[in-house]
Amino acid sequence: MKGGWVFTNMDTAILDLRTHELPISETMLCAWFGTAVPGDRLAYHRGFLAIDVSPLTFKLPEPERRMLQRVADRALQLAEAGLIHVVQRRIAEDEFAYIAIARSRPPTWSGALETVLKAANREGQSK
Amino acid sequence: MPFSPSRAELNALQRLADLMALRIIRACRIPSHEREDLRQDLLADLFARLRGFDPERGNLSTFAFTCFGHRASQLIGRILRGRASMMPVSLDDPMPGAPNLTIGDGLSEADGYGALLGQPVDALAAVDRRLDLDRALGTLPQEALPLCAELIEQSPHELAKASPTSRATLYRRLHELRLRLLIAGIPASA
Repeated sequence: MKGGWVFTNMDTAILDLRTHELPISETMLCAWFGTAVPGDRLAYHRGFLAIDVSPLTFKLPEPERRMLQRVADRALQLAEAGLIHVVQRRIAEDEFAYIAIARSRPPTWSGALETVLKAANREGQSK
Repeated sequence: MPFSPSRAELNALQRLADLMALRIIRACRIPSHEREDLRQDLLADLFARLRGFDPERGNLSTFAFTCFGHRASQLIGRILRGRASMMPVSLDDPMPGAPNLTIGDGLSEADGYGALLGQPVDALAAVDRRLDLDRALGTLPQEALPLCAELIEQSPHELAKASPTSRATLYRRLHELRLRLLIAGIPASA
């Protein structure tokens, strides 16, 4: 299956897992979530995250390590905001797939655009 | 050796070009502020032809008058051709065959001037966009909204100049704002 993974070696199969060409960037993760519907999954890393992001292990080149760190931080931030679940699935010894699963979005307060436009209007008049 | 006019001759040429420009303006009924441009055009054409001027065969004024005449007929032809290719009508003119309608009534927004300049012309899409933006801005923290408001009026560069915070901090905030809007499904901002 090109561009996606199928996990059948565990209790449940995760079919049609959306993956970008790894490694993915923070922007790609955000863009994925922007278009995701609840239940959509994205594997954002494959390996051993704690070791891969550590600057002491030298497993990845520094720019790639920093990019992975940002992706991991953003996934954690989204999870803490209740927007995604972050789960992992073991593939092999010391190798995991790190998966983000989109949750339903909480309701947002309306009228934000009006607030911004009014503030911009006030600023424009004060100049 | 190419002929080089004296200052007195140059003044005379300028007056002659001015006169010819005025004739073009009258012939084509174009605004009088075009006079300087036309004079410039006529003189530039003459100076390009001065290499062929022989003082023994005639005086400079005659040569210049002939050159100006040829150039003027070219310019008049160009202006009239340009005018013929367009049909100046007012949007408020009545539509032929439908006296209750104006020409403007017959033009869709997609054929209008705004569409030519790349402005959105689909009113429903504009409403959708507004709702999307409202929802996306609602996901931002309250402290990010003043920055959004400032960005409506000013470019990031102007903001950085006016703001007491450092440029790097401002651009970090902008990057975060773009990603948050991207998370909210507004891809154009990233």
